[in-house]
Amino acid sequence: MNSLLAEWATARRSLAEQAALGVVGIDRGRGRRFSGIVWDSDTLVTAAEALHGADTVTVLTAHGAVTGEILACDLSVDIAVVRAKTGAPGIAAAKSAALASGDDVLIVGRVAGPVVVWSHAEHVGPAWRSRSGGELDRLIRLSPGLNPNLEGGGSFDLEGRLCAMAVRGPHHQTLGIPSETIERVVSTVLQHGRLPQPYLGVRLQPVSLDEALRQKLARHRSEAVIVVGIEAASPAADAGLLLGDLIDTIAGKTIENAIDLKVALTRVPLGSPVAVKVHRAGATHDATVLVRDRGNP
Amino acid sequence: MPPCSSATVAIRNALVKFGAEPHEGPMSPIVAAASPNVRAKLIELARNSRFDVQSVAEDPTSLAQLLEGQPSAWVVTGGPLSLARPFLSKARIARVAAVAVLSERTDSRDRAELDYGRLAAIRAIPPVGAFQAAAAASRAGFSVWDPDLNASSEITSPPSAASPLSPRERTVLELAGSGLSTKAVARQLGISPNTVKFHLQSAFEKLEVTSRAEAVMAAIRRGELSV
Repeated sequence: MNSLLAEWATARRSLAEQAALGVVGIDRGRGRRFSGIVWDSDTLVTAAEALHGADTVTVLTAHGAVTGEILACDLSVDIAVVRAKTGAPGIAAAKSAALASGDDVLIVGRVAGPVVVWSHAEHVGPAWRSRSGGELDRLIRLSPGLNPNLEGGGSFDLEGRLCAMAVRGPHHQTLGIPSETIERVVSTVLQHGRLPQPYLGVRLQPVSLDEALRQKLARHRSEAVIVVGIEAASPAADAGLLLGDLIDTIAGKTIENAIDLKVALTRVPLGSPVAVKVHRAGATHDATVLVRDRGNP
Repeated sequence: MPPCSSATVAIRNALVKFGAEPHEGPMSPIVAAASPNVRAKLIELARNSRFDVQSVAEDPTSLAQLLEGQPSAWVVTGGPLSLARPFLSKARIARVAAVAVLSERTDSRDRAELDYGRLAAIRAIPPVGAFQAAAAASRAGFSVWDPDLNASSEITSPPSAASPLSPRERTVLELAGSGLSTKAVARQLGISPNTVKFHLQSAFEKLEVTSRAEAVMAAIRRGELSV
């Protein structure tokens, strides 16, 4: 064989072998298997949706099976953090920012042995918000049609560093959850033991502003939300919000739909006063809310 | 006074008629629907209107058998039109009174195809008294078509009016959506994991989604879950 080709093949193989050390297989029972990434010797990450509500899983490593306990799931970014003593060394995470459209990546997971697919990043774009209101540091679209066994597997660059977790997106797309986003979720979970659920306690319905009101509120678009339900003893009830209030801004951020509000709440400090502007009966009212963690009242 | 469609008038007349002659023919309807979810809702709806359901048909053939030689029987079916249609055509063949509790809008073509003079079609989650009125009207030989079912109506209700989540579905979705496992949700509510899965699946169907994350977002957008 041509020596250049042989070198190339050897380099590819050693890259795949190195990457395979950083991934595990995950079995949630009934033959449903996917993959996970070894974050450190006690912690794995995998695709939250693939778990389907499981609370323990069997983790398959190169040296055998161990039990994994789900610590937290963030469905909005499709990341689950799992505690499992794999004893494996954690992966080296690259900044996904170094990744560019067209770059080669290896997607690596594990069933009985390693599963490796050479792929590439079809498109790498700026930070984006998922349809579930999750904030991702980069948009990474990998080649479509992910093998289900590879869901939750690692996407590695040619240096063998993790740049993203491969997950299945809508319309058979394969999305990469950036390593920076994983880092953020894992450190929150390891710090607090869970993911905070900031909440206000309002149910909302979309309304369309007429031109006069749109101009009065100095908004660019006519979409807005009004309060159609307030939970008892919630931050919204404490702040004196009323049924029918149109939520104009929270912490200065204009709210056009319910997801805007959900995202805005993740950015305000929990338990500290936050300014809310509501439009009520033809006039603007200022209120102050203390956004709380739903799980920890 | 706003213009009143003939169907509205028919419902009001039926209400009057119901008050006058409540005991014509057997009071217990045959509930006919393929989906266990829909059947359970129809039975609940009938019970709330003080009708005792004694027969249930899970497919159109068994409905046809139940209706044989029973001209005074009456049928309650429902769900989306596509699922209710085969049952309605059996009722039509047997010429018995039928109440269709439809979860989606219909147009005049549907009406022309299904109506045979003894069919009362009302929307899912009918206002108080509408089910009783519809039952009485169809059994008295009236044809009733709830104006809220009219696809060309200018008044459009929010999508949540079609099939709102039950309080249990909301609670289960809220907990599962916060990232809790199926077992953890079950423990917190004191129900079995299978019941949790049943409520989640039912919520997914109503919201037309396939994942927990999508379900939470859809429910928040529809004003059924709080933020």
